[in-house]
Order: sequence, then structure tokens, then C-alpha cells
Amino acid sequence: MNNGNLSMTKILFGTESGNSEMAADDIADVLRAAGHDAEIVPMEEADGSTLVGTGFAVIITSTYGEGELPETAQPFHDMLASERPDLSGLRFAAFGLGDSTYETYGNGIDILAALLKDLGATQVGETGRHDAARTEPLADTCTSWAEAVLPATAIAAE
Amino acid sequence: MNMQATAPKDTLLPWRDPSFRADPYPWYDRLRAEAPVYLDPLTGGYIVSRYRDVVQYGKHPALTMKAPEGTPKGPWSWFKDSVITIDPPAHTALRRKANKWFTPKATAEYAKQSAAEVHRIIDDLGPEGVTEAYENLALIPGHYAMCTALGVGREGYRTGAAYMRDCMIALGSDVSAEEQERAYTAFRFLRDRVSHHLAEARRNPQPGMLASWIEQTAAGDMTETQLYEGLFLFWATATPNAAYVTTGGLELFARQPEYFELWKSRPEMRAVILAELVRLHTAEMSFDRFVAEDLEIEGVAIPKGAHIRFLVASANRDTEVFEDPHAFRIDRPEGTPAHLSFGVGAHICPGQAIALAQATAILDAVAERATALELAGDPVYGHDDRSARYLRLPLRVIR
Ligand code: HEM
Ligand SMILES: Cc1cc2nc3c(=O)[nH]c(=O)nc-3n(C[C@H](O)[C@H](O)[C@H](O)COP(=O)(O)O)c2cc1C
Repeated sequence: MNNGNLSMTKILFGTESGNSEMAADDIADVLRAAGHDAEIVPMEEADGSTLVGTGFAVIITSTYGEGELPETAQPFHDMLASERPDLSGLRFAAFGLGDSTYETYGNGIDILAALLKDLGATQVGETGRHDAARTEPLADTCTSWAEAVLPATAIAAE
Repeated sequence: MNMQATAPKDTLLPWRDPSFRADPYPWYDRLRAEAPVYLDPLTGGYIVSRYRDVVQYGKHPALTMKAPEGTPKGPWSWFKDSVITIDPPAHTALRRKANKWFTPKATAEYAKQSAAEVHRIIDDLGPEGVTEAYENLALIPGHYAMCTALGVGREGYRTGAAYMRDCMIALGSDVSAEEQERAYTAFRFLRDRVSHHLAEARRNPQPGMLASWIEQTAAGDMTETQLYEGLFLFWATATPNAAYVTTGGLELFARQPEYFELWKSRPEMRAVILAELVRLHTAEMSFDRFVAEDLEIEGVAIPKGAHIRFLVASANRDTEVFEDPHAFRIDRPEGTPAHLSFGVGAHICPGQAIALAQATAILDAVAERATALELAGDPVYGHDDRSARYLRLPLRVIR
């Protein structure tokens, strides 16, 4: 059907304090440098229809509270969980931000990835993770993850 | 089998000793080795100094910001309903009022105002290129970024920051009656300035967080107290902290020009350089909490109602975690734990992004204009027992 739509990678980010937004920008840069179209969508502006009809998406979220979703990811999650759109046409890659000094390290991205799979989507590649308790800068971690995982998987989608 | 915390006759923390204030690290080293959870005979509170304990217990749910009944009131006690007085979940809701205004992306935009002011200062230098960098290149340019974030006028902050120093001294462990009085005086001035900016914004709202908060207050989503105290915290309290980090960068570039060259030639290294600067320049050397439920740290039982001070500055130089801890090094092994300068847990600094954005924009602007930096005299530091601060950084900007 709409091939133009299918070749456009959507990058959704959920955040509390804005770090995931920086990761979204860096990951979009990697995709664009590899010749792909990428559109960044903040989760507070997304709903089920954002993902239905999308061929490939990158999902990014941090973890907050005690292993919970951050401010802008929680409503998105709850909307998907109650509307239960059919996402069997969706392939996605996942990147999580967290802090390994919390027992619930990186729960947020695991919660969202599990929900998408439950709705029929297929995850590709390893879930990327940035650990705020270590000195490696976020830009370095998410860029090397994206370079390793995305071009191949995104190309395969087209 | 709880051990008693040790309280030797000679205190391990001589808070008022000038040599301790100038360089507390030898005392911290001894503390971590001999009494990592120390019952401080001077204050009656517990002091936690190891990295692993600060990072783990600093965010323990048994801790609270609320002082127990009977805790003596001080100059800071007028704060009633703001992020520094409450615990989650109410705390989370209040923090969310500020989140979107202080993201890394938004603050990089505000910090263009900091860069513009640095360019103006450099345009205006005399033939020797000498300036006092803490105030002129770090503090005031940094403040302009904050003014843009909030949507307030730029006036009144030179005096404001000087008075803020008097307020911060009153957060220390051993505060004299005179220091307390000075803090009360300082708060009178600062509160009046905050009232002024609030009245201005009501009369003539500018884009920014303050106008949005005023609307939310009118709509009943925030209280007047939250509005006023929140504005106070962002406008008044912490821009000097960000300026100490920036000034630390300028001092580093003057003393070790190889890092100035690196800053210029390898932009991807800026995050690592900044993180190491923030580790060494712990503007706030400790944060404190009250114990809401009995707690045990390193085998020491800490009773409900006790006061704990977490020594971030000690944790940041803990040899268990950082080899050669007093040195500026950007070749630390992969997986080295992050510094704790911005605190840990729910109260972690909401100003992190704007502080880093200010430092980045200012150091970038200086790097654009200067071939080299030199000290034009000795820096003057003004550390007390809780704040590590600059008073003066005489700097020659070589163009
Ligand atoms: C313009 C820059 C800054 C602003 C606006 C700012 C603002 C704040 C505010 C409002 C809080 C209270 C948060 C809460 O209780 O929820 C806070 C906490 C804190 N800030 Fe900042 N800050 C700034 C820069 C810095 C810098 C540069 C440092 C250190 C290098 C720092 C260290 C801390 C620490 C350690 C805490 C935690 C205190 C605690 O847990 O009790 N801040 N900051
Ligand atoms: C109050 C608080 C609670 C947090 N809880 C967790 C957690 O349970 N698990 C985790 O992995 N990270 C946790 N984090 C770390 C954040 O996920 C991490 O700092 C991340 O970089 C924030 O990204 P954001 O700015 O996009 O929200 C927490 C951070 C804060 C401040």
C-alpha cells in the first residue's frame, strides 16, 4: 500500500527530563546519514495510529520512579494497552535510558517493548541501553548502538 | 548486631577550621577509611562519606526532606511547599511543572544568550584582555540563560548572587549566629527581588516558565506558595553553582592549555571534559535528609528522626571508585561510575541541563575568540563547609 510511509522510520521517545529526546535526535542523525528518512515523534503526541501503518520504528524511553515509565511514556503506554491496535505490520528497535544503581534498571523500555510485542509487533536487534550511573556519554552510547543495529534492520524493511 | 558509630574525642570533621574548609579532602580520606558512617559529635547528625553508600542510601525511601517536630528553625525554614521541602509522590508532580522547561534541548537554546554576553564582554576587553572571569564570563552570562528560560528581566542579579552566598553559608554544618543573621538579611533582599519579577511578569508576561506557571496558578493547578517558592529556587539559588563549574573550566584551560586545545579540536570530547569538571567542582559538597524509618548503613544503626548528611564531595574522590581522584583525567577506564555532584534520587538537580548548557555555550564562545587563556593573578576561592565556590578568577583572554 503506502510504501512512502513504510520506508519512513518513526522515532518515538518518552522522557521525564529530556535525555531521551537527545537520544532520539542522535539516532535520527545516524539513520539520515545512512540515507533513511526519520521522523521524531514525542510520545505525548503519539497514539495507536502513529504506529499502525508504520513499517519500522525506534522506541526510546527512560525509567522513572521505581522501575516505572516516565511522564510522557505512561499515557502512551496506557492508551495502547486499552485500545490494543493490531501492530503485526510493525518492526521496531528499542533503546532504553536508565541508571544501574536502581534495582529496576531499564524497566521502562522492557515494559514498552513487551507491550508492542504483545500487540503483534516484531522487535529487531538487541535492546540498546544507556546507564546514567556510568561515565559513558549518552550521545556515544546511543550513536554506536544505532550504527550497529539500525541501518541493516531499517534497510531490510524497505 | 549493630555497631555503635564512633565518636572520637577529636572530631574527624572540624567544620570551621580554615584549613579544613580550604581543602577538606585529607579529612574525608580518613573519614571514609575509619568511620564511613560517622556520628558527628558537633552536630549530632550522621555523616555518610563513601561513594557506594551515598549512591545507594542517598535515594533510600526511608529518608525524607521533612524535618521532625522540634528541629530548630533556620533562615531556610520559610520554604513551605516546594521541591526542597516535600517527598514523592507530591514531589514528582511539582518537579513535572519544571521538567519541559529545563531539558537539554531547551536549555541549549537559552544558553545562546550566555554566548552572546560572552562575545560582548570579549568585544569590550581592554588592551591587556584582563577580566574577572567568575562574574563576567560565567555568572552573569549564565544568568541570562536562566532569565530566558523563566521569561524575566535581567536586572538585580549581581547583588542577588552575592546575597545568595550568604544564604548558602547557612546550609552548612556549623553556622554561627552572625552567619544566620546575614542569611536572614540576604533572604529579605532576594525575596523582594522575586516579588518584583513576579509582579512584572503578571503585568507584562514574557514567553517562558514563569508566565506558564502564573497561568497554572490562576487555573488552580499550582498554589501561590508553589509559584513563589519555585520561582525563588530557579531565579535566585543555583546559577552561581553552574558558574563555579564554568569557572573551573576556564581555570583548567588556563593552567593546562592542552585541554583548551582539546575542547576546540574535539567537540565530541566536550561531554567527558565537562563531566570530569563537574566531578571535581562539587559546588554543593553535601546534601542532607531526615530519617523517617530506622535504617542501617555499613552496620551502623541510624534511628528514626536522625539527620544524615551525604558527603558528595567525598564520594566523588573515593579511591575505591576513582583512581588518582584529585587529578583531572579524561582517560578513566570504561565503566567508571559517574560523579554524584548533582545528587541522587528524586531530588537530583533539575538544573543539570541548564548548568551544562551554560558551561558549554560559554566555553565554546571563549574558545571561538581566544587563542589562549592565562591566569592574570591568583584565583580566590571562598569555600565553606558545604559550598565549593569561586569568588574571583582573574583571567587574561589572549586574542
Ligand atoms: C542554574 C543551575 C542550577 C539550578 C537552576 C539548580 C536548581 C536546583 C534545585 C531547584 C534543586 C532542588 C531539587 C529538588 O529538591 O527536587 C537542586 C538540587 C541540587 N542541585 Fe542544583 N541547580 C543548578 C546547578 C547545580 C550545580 C552546578 C550543581 C553541582 C555541581 C548542583 C547540585 C545540586 C545538588 C547536589 C542537588 C540535590 C540536593 C538534594 O538532594 O537535597 N546544582 N538544584
Ligand atoms: C527519581 C528517579 C527515579 C529513577 N528510577 C529509575 C529506575 O527505577 N530504573 C532505572 O533504570 N533508572 C531510573 N532513573 C534514571 C533515569 O532513567 C535516567 O536518569 C535517564 O537518563 C533519564 O532520562 P530522561 O531525561 O529521558 O527521563 C531514575 C531517575 C530519577 C531521577
